[in-house]
Amino acid sequence: MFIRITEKVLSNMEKQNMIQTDQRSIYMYGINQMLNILLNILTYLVIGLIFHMTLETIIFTCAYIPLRIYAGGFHAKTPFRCWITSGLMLFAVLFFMKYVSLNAFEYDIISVVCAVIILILSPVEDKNKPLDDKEKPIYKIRSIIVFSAELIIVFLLKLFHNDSIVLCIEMVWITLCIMLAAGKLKNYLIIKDEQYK
Amino acid sequence: MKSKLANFKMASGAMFAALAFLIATVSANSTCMWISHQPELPEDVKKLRKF
Repeated sequence: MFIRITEKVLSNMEKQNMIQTDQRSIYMYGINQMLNILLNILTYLVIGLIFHMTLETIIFTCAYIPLRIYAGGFHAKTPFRCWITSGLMLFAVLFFMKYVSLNAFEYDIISVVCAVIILILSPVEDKNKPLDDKEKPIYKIRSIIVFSAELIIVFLLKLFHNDSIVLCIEMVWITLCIMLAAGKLKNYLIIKDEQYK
Repeated sequence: MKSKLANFKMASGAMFAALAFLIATVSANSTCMWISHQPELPEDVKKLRKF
């Protein structure tokens, strides 16, 4: 999505000797990812502002990303599709939080079920970044650690009756559960497709 | 004034480069970097894996 801008920035940096030429591909990858992240953050903030739920958006993102980077899950084919699906995902989450009125107990039950599924399924790899036998257990342990930290935060917040933040974190688990299931399904379909070829 | 601007440009460029390197390193050590796109990892980035 940002290949041309990345190339331009990179050649400027090379001219000024800010980077080593043999590490060009690392910087190329890093800058491209950085610009994608920036676009996604801005989009998230705009969606949060539309719903008047900026704080909820920030909390959701802060809880979602650490868990997502170790648990994995569904990935779009292109950065543009990623931008669209990420935006739609947040839109759906905020819409659900604002307009679907489940009580706290119902949210607790759904999020416990989702949490169990997350712990069973994670990590879900992508074909662009397959995980080897060494990586899989490490990512599983890391996702359990992040999840445990979030669980402790939820318990503490529940003690102080801070239900809106609890709901944000529970929505993270529900969303991630869907993303992991979608990722597993996508990987299964890819394998099946390759078998037919 | 000109040299101050050049210094600022250099410093911000260096910070930008460091951030790009950091993002590549995090990406090499995680399943994905952001919500739903994972570009193919270049060989050089794979070498940044810490375990």
